[in-house]
Order: sequence, then structure tokens, then C-alpha cells
Amino acid sequence: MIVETGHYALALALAVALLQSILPLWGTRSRDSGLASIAVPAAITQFLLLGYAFTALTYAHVVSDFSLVTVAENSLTTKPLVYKIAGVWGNHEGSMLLWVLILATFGATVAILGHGMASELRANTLAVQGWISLAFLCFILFTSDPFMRRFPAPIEGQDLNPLLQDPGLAIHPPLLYLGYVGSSIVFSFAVAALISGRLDAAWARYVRPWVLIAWIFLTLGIAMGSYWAYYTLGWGGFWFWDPVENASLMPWLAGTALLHSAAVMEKREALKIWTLFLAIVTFSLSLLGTFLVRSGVLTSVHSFASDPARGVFILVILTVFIGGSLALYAWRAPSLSQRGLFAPVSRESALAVNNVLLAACCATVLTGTLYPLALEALTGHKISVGAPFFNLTLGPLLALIVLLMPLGQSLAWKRGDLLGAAQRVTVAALGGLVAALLLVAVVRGGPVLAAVGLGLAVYLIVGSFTDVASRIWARRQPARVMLARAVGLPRSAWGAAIAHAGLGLALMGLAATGWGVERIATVKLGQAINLGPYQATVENLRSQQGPNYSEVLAHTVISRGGAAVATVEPAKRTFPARQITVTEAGIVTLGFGQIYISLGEQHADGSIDARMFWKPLVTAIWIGAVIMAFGGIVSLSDRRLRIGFARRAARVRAAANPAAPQPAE
Amino acid sequence: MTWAVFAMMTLAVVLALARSLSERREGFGVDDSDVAFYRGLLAEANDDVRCGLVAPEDAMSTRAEIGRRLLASLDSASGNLLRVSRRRRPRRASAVLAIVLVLPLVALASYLKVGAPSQPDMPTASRRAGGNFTPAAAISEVETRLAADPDDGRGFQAIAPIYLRMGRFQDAARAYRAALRLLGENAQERAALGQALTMAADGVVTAEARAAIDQALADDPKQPVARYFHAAAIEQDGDKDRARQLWEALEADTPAGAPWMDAVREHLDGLSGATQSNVEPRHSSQTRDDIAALSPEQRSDAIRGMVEGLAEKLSKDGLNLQGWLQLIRSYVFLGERQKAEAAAASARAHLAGDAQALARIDELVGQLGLKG
Repeated sequence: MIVETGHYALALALAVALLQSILPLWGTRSRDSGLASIAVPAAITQFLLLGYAFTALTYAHVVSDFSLVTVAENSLTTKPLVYKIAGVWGNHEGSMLLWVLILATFGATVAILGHGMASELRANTLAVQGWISLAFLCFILFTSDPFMRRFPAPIEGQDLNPLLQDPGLAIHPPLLYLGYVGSSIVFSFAVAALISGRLDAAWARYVRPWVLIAWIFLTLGIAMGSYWAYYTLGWGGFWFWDPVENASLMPWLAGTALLHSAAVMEKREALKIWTLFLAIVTFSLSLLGTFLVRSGVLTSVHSFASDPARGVFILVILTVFIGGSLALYAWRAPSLSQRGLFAPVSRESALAVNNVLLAACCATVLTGTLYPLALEALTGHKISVGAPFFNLTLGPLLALIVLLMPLGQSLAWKRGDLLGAAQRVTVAALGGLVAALLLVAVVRGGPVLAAVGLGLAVYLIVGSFTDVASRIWARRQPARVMLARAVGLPRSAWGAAIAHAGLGLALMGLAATGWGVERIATVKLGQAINLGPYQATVENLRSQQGPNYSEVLAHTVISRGGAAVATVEPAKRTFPARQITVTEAGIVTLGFGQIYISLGEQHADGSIDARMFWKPLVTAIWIGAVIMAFGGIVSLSDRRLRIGFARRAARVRAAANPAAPQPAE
Repeated sequence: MTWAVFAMMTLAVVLALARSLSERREGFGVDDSDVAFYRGLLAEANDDVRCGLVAPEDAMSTRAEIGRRLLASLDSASGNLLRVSRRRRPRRASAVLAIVLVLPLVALASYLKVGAPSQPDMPTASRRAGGNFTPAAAISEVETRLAADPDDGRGFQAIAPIYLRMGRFQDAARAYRAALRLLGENAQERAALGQALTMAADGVVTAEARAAIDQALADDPKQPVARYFHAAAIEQDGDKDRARQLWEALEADTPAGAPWMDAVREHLDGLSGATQSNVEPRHSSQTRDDIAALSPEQRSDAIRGMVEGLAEKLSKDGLNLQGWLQLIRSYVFLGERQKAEAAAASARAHLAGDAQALARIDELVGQLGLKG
């Protein structure tokens, strides 16, 4: 009965979404706040219903109820419990349910924490959430029902593919979805502003935490997916410019631009219309990302037709939401009051340039991803747009963004002093130059681009903290005062510095790939292979039995200057029943670099083919991404951005009372 | 019971939504939140001055600008305040109507379109009556053995039919191929390979499947599975007369009660009536359909009987040598050696008159290292 009540909860949630998408709007249109406030219980009820439905589906997976088609197709009684649970969202139907559940969670959060928000804005925002929810629930119930039953129930499930049973793959989709769906809240805010025609700095402040949350999760999700590909696929690469990856990168680029333009809007009430546009674009790209990955359109345009109902539904959702919101934008945006002209040299204009560059990056990725699809649909030719295209087009754009980042941070709001800012970043620029020159001197003959990239990275990391440092440091001030200033500095300033430095670190890791060493060789036992500063020696091969596979392990010693520093056992697993062979890459982290060994064919004379890499600083890429996300969290903790903001504001007001001077919170 | 729970869920939702409509408040006031927001900005500006982050004279102009923005925001809000509509009662009444009528109707209608209200949960634990035979356990056991010795043809031979029954047709085809490669030619398994390939292609006899079936027929022209799919292939090619002949011949040779009889008759009916374009692989889904007709308790028995069903069939019709050999092999690979030995004994008893068959049984018992 749990299964069918879960199923009914889903249908009930659909009905609630229908009312939630109509009644609050009617309320705000007719100025009836009682009617409009129905959005709040509706959003909360929807969250409870979908939470119950998701729990019921999870229960069915855990107890292996194979009368559910999704369970039968994706589970197995002997699967470990963790993967039974991860299996809930490891397929199209379940992942869509997770999507709406996250949507409803965000909706309920706005409903509960939004007391400080203008009640009209809250009602309209929740109504727009209702539309999205309604569309997805229709899609789920009528084309991708996770609760579809089949009788007679099979005695056993089908999926046993051990490759997909990986902790990385269990966590990666929910993170990415939190990012995608987080942008839906921002979208709802944007459409609500278009409907009511009111758009001010306060709006930007309500929206910023949500943009930040979506951005943090997207950053982590992308980094996680990239690391998973790196360690499982055995090719030593971490980014393949694959359409699935691009699909997550595009909302990230648009979201990053949105993050910055919302800051301008909050501070200076400028870039309002552009911010709205970015909010719509970010969500549109998230929708595209969700469907690109799940619809199978990527493997071939023609697979879209294999399930026409689903394909048509997806097209309708994309058209209605993207086309509809853009049409609303075109109609309403001109009537919104534009304010806040700004000087050409100021932080806001630097941020505007950053926005233009990020938008150009995003458009480039979009072209590179969709052009092959469009070409295949129109002419039937299959082409692939790969790394060379993206490296050539995005490389210069990224370099420009990085060059401007510390400069922009050092400019003041309203009217900046370009010369002063340039002076302030001189230290950083010098640091970068010295680093690049030193590297060229030390690693003679290394690739020029790598040295340039590393110099840029050092410049960015040092430059990120230039602004913070110049605001704290003052001549002839005791350290105590400087510490007080550091603590008093808005957390968002710290967050920005940390996130920018994180990008610098990631850039460092990317640049260092230029000094990487790759050897593809037939390795004899005992033969030392030079990998940069290290030597790898395969000492012996041994076989071992796993539960349903046999594996060959190559016991490899890594040494430096004759002294052993680590051992690693890359493996090759053979699953005879399914006749699949998988390589388990052997990875050793030494400092920030990694030795990466993946095995190939074994030969009769005892030698074995292997790909061996020395990847200096490679972990900096993911550490950098995690630091970026951490910067986002620090920024989110800024008291001005806390969601229950009005109550805080009251306390701040008390604190600001001159009669009772207190340190800032 | 299920319906009562549905009704309670619906009632709870209706009450939760309708409650907010009882609120008398109407109209949107000038939002305090905006004022609070700009007050917050002012407080921040003061903080900045206190911490020495901003010079006091810069802060002055910032404060002035915040003040201007606050006034502008209040202006736009009061503009909206003027048009408050008066007729609240009919509006609220229709909202209540929507909650009380539309909500349950939409929920019910969409649920009835997709739901299966009368079906209970079916956790696997509740579906196993007695015995602990589960295909997953059997498969993982055999897969473990295969991992230890990938050239164990008998392992593939045992696992292939289980894959086939579970609907993992690609895996079944791979296992049959491996078994044929390792153990040599065998018409029954060659035919089963054809069946697996056909079912993997959604019932279309592909060229590869056809080759396997033809080879099986060349070895053993009487092999029923091969004959079945051969006829299906001919029918699929559009040669209806020839297909009819083949189906009729197969029907004539099929002993009463054979599991594929119904499917053969269906094909004959299809040919005499409307044309049937696609081949529904009835033979194998037959077991599943039979299980469908049973009650849950009987169903679990039938499931457990995937192997034991074969034993039962053999106890009635004990002259099927291939069946006995399969049963003995299956028991051994499920680790039930005693049952395997018992099966070998009954096989000998049933086939006592057939010296050739007895030799095959002895050979297999020797190979598997069974007692007896």
C-alpha cells in the first residue's frame, strides 16, 4: 500500500501545483492578500506530498518491489543497500522525481523563510514555481511514471552493471540537480518581478542567496563529475568537452554572470533588465541540461523519436518556459524603470565587462554543443566539435577574464580610480610575472602557454586578496585594529576573494598539465619508466578473485632518485559472465601532483601495456573548485544575505543605534 | 482501506489550503520589508564608517542615495495600492470551490489514469514461500565460479537459461555462445541462442538469430525451439503458405500440454485471420503468463519452481533425456548436490530401457563428480 499511496501523493501534488499556479496570481491581481497567501500552504503541502512519494519509491527500491517497472529495470536483490538507494535516482523516472522534489524543497523554503519578503513578491514567485512544478509533474505522471507497475512482477531485477555502482556516481546527480533546480527559484523571482512590474534593489537581495546556493551546488557537481570521469574512465583526462559536461558548464557560466550582475543591481540598482535576462537564461540552460542528459538526444538526434510522447513533451516544456518567459521579458521589460547610469571606470562597469565576457563564453559553449546536433537533424551528417575548438575560443576569453578580475575587485563602486587600482594590483602582476619567469628558467624548454597560464594563476591568487588587504592594512595601525577591520569586513568580500583565489588555483592545475608526462609503453617486469621526477617500476603481476570478477594487479613501485616513495596497484578486472573488461586506474597523490597508471593488454612474455602519467599539480583543479564553492558558502553567510533577512535587519538597526554602540555582528 | 487512506490524504490537503482563505486580511500594504531593506543598507553604511572602511564624507552621499531609492520604492508601491477591488465574497467562494472540488477531481482523475489501486506492495521478501532459491543468488554464485574459471562451459550452460528467463537476453546470448564454444555443438543450446537473439531484437528474427536456428535444425531437424523460430522467421519474411505448413507440422509433432502449444496455435490463427507481422516470442513469455494467472501464494511456488517445475514435469514425463540432464546440472550449480544425485537416480529409473541415455547420464554424473 505504501507504493500506491506514494503514487497517489504524486497525483495529489499535481492537483496542488495546479491551484498553486493559478490562485496566488489571481489574488495578487485582484489585490486580495488572503487569496494570494494560499501560495504558502500550497508550497509546503506540495513539498510534503512529493517527499512522501519519494520516500515510497525509495522504500520500493530498498525492499526490491519488482512490480515497479523502474525497480525491476534498475535494481537487484543482491545489490548493496547504498546502491539500492542511489538506484532511486540512477534512472530517468526516478531522477525526474528527485528533480521536482528539490524544486518543492526550494519552494517550501521560500514559503517558510520568506516572512521578510514583500508578500506580493512571495505569492507571485511561488505561483511561478507552481507552473514549473505542474509541467514536470505532468511529464512525470503521464510519460515517465516511476510508479508504473507490471504484472506479473518479475522475480528478479535486471541491472547488475557494476560499473555504475560507484560512490561518485551516486552523489554527482543530486548535487548537479540542486544546482539546476536552484536556478529555477531565481527564474521564478524574475518572472514574478516581470508580472508585478516591480523590480528594485531589495529584489536583488532576496535573489542573491538563491543564486549563490545554485552556483555552489553546480560548482561542486561539475567538479565531482569531472573527478569521477578522471578516475574511472582510465584515460587520464578530466574534461572531455562532451555535450553532457557542456550541458552543466553552460548554466554555471550564466549563473556566474548572474551572481555578479545581481551584486551590481543590489549595490547600484543598475543592470536590472540584464539581470532579469540572465536569470531567465540560466534556468533555460538548466532545463536544457536536464533534458539533454536524460532524453538520449545526445547519443543521436533520432533516439528522440524512439519515445515520441516523451520527446514531444520535452519540446513543449522547453518551448513554453524558454519562449514564454522570453516573450514576457520582451513585453514587460521595457516598462520597468531603468536607473543607475554608471561611470566607465568603476567596479560596476568592470562587472559589466565580466558579464559580457562570461556571456560570450556561454554562447561559445552553446554553439559548440548544439551545432553538431542541429547539423545532424538537418542534414544527417554527424560531426563532433571537440577540444581544439573550445580551447581556441575559450582560452583567450578566459585569459581576458582572469586579467580583469583583480582589477575589477580593486575598483571602487560608483567612481573608481583606474590608476590607483592598477597600482594596487601591481604586486599581484609582478608576482605572476616572476613566477612565470622562474618557471621558464627552472623548467627550461617547457611549453610557453603553461608558463603563461601559471603566471596568470599566481597573479589571480595574489590579486584576489589585494582588495581585502588594502581595506585592512593601514600604515602605523596596531595589529589589533587591523584584525578588527578584517573581522568587520563584509563576509561577501571575503567570499569573493576566496572564490577568485579558488579559480586561480584551478587555473594553476590546468596550466600545469603542460608539464605533464605521458608514457604509453609495453612494460617489462622490473623495468623503470621515467615519469618526470619519478620512476615507476612494475615489480610483479598477480591475479586475484573478486566476487564476480577476476583481476590482474600490477604491483608498481614509484621511486624518486632511487628511493621508493609509494606503491600502487592498478588493476584490470574481467567479468566473465558479462564478458566486460574494466581498468581500475592506479592513482598516487604526491604533493599536489598525481601518478596515474592504467593497464592495457597483457602479453605472453609477461609484459603488459600501460598508460602512465605524471600530472603535476593536477589535484589543484578540484581543490580549486572546492575552494570556489567554499568562497560561495562564506559569501552566503554574510548577514545581509541570510534568508530570514527582515528580522535580522531589525537587530542590525538596534545595533546601529548610536545610543548603544556595539561591534558589528 | 487504500481508498480510505487516499480520502484522508485528500482531506488533509484540502483543509491545509482552505484554512488560509478564512483570513479576513485584504489588500497589500506598503511593504514593511522594503523599508526594512533600505534601513538595513543605511545601517551597513554606518557600520562601514565605524570600522573605518569608508570615509565619513563618502558615506554621506551613499546615505543620500539610499534615501532617494527608498522614496522611489514607496512611490511605486503606493501607486499599486489605489486599485483595491471590492467584491471579495464571490472571489473567495470560487477559490473554495476550486479547492474542494477541482483539487480532488484532478488528483483522482490523474491517479486513475496511471495508478493500480488494488495492487499490494510486493517486496521480494514476502514473495518467497519456503525455499531460498532466488535467481540473483544463483546467478551471483555461478558468476563467482565463472570468475574463478572463465573456461567453465557448464557454468555458462547453467546460467544462460536463467538469464533468458529474467529477460536479460543479451547476457543470455553471450552465455549460450560461450557454452557452445567451450562445450562443443549442441542443437538445443544453438536453438536457444537463436531464441535469445530474437528476443533481444524485440521478437524480430535477425540474420544472426536465423543463422543459429538454421544450424540447430541442421544438427537436429526435430529440435522444437529451432522449428518454432524457423517458422516465425519464414512468417516474418512474408511467405505465409510455407509458414502455415511449418506451424502445422510443428503442431502435429508437439505432445499435448507442451508449453509452446498455445503460441503455435496463436500463430496459426493469426495466419488464417488477420496477417500478423511481428513475431511475439510466446514460447518463453509463456511461463510468465502462466504465473500471472496464479494467486500470490501459488505464484511464489511457481517462481521457486523455475528449477523444480522442470523436476515435476520430468516426474510425469520421464522420457525427456535433455530435461533430466539440464535438471542435474542446474541442481549442481545451485549447490544442491543431494537433489542432483536424487535426480540422477530417478532419471536412471525412468530411462532404464534406453542404454544410450543411461550412458549419457553416467557420463554427466562422472563429469560433475556426483555419487551414484
